[in-house]
Amino acid sequence: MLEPVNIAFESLNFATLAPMLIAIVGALTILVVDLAKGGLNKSLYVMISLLFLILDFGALTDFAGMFKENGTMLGFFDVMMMDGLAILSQLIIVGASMLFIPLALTSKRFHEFSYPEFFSLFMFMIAGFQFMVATDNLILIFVGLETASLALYTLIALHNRNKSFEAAVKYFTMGALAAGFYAFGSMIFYALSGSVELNQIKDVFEADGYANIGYILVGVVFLLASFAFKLSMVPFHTWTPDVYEGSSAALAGYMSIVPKIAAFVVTMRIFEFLIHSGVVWLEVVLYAGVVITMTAANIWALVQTDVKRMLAYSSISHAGFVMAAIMIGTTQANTALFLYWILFTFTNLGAFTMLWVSRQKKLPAGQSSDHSFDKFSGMVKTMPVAALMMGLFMLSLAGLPPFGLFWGKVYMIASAVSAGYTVLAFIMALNSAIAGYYYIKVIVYMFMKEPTNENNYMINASLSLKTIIGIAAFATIFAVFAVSPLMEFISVLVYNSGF
Amino acid sequence: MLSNMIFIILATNLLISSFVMISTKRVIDSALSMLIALLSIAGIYATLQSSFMFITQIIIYAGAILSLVIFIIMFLNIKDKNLPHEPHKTRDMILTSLVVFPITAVLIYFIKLSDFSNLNEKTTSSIGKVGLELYQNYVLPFELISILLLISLVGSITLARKEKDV
Repeated sequence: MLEPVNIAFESLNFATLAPMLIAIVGALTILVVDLAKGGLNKSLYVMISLLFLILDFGALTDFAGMFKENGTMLGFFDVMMMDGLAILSQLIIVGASMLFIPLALTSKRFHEFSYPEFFSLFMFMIAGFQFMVATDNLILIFVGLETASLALYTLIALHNRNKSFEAAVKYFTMGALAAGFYAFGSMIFYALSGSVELNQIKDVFEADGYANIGYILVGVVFLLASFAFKLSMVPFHTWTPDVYEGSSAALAGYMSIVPKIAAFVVTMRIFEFLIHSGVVWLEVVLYAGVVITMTAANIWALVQTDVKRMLAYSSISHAGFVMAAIMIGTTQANTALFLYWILFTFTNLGAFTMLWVSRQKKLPAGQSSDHSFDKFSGMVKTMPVAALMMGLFMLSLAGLPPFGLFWGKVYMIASAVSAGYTVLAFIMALNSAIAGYYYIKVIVYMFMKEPTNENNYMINASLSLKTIIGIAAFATIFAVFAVSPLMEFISVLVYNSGF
Repeated sequence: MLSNMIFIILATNLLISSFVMISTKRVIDSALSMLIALLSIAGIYATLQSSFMFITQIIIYAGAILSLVIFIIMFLNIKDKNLPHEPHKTRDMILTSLVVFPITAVLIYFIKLSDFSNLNEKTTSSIGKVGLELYQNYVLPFELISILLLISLVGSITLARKEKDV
């Protein structure tokens, strides 16, 4: 006969679940509203999603305040862990989702947005990412990752193109392989340490002085491969351009930001202590990965003929750039990572929204892709404001002062120099220069070429899309004033969680 | 002695059926030999008195997953001419097993590393232990899996009724 289990309700610390539960309740609300009355306008669902995301964001800012006073909060038998990294990355995840969800309000009618399930899956996905970052339990990380990824595959497949289906299947297959690698790597860590909590694994490893280093490295290889898939590090990047090309521009922009910040946080939790363990091998591998990812992706981006594919390679290169912070591993570098990613969110949001406003329902005659460079030629004569906006985002992505991403790059390179990685800093600066070429190429097309015969660039624009572009442009131009308060906020959260 | 005999029978069954599964040409033969392999593993669990693993193996693998596989094979109705042309199948199989060998070696190492000395007293009430662990320490991941299932349900239904244009 089993003993009855008595657990005090307070010991569960239910409040740590609040942000995720808000997102889940939002998702269920959308499903129930559709059940009660079908065929409602998509703007209602956008607003419901936005409402719950604002609630979620509010709860998270509250947590940020509580964290500054009380430190890390644990809940549910220490499975949940709301530390500074978790709160910060959730703020980015939810904030970016708030900016991306209004992109559904296009003037053209797209099929996927007529399904309420689209918005429901979107909210579930956010909850999945939130669970993934707010824990150091390998099992919950896995379940959160799979929850989010499954929803994301479906969202990609809902877009009505043959290529979208191909993209979703590709992403699904790659994701399944990565999940297998993750499971195998975690299994090895569990077998060596007898725990699935990362901080306990760290204690066990340090207690026996990394005696089983060979087997730890086997585990690290598998975990590294799995997260390299998610972060699209070279050589695990091959799915990225195809998937971005197949999905809608709005979703592609979303994919370049939110899943990656979640994966970065988990990577930071797993690899930071391993790098500090003094194992040279891991540092060498990460160093090589960072350099190859930045450089190779930049070179591939040079030869693309489609702006969306070019941006896909550019986002791979940016991810490599940011991965350098995890390799450096100082508090300054980790702070720079989050700053970079916040600024990158706004800039990439703008760039992908500019592609999204130009989306026709059918492919234009004689063109094989939606966003070829030719489409942008001579835009300044027909659509001066749009051309100016696109130019602004391109310059920011290239890292020109005083636009947003410049500050991110400066802090990142500065952290590399102060940690003694001078060569790496040099390579990073060099790569920014290479990247300049293909961003300027778009500007050359827009400002120097003659317009093509029919220019229907803003065909998909609506008030809400223009608003989002306005917000992104505003944030990109005036980022200079926000950098130092942001840095202060980020460094408090990052430093107090021990990273 | 008797348990050794049973183990040898089950293990031989497992090895032969696994080999048939990957080497046979007809898909349905593969599926059926997979069934035998899964049942042999279930039998090995039973000889180890691991009742929970035995039941899950029968219900989930031999029951649910395999019927899904067979259902799909019947549904697709694959003919011989639809099968991919594999001229170097034997060579590929040997190469693949060489690639997978180090991973298997790691697994065997960890199996040897594990402590099996008090296996029997632990596993006699294993279902209760598993249940308690699942509903205490891992209640949150466990409940999140229900969300995961809901997502796959919603997602697959939405995709299935998606209208086609383009």
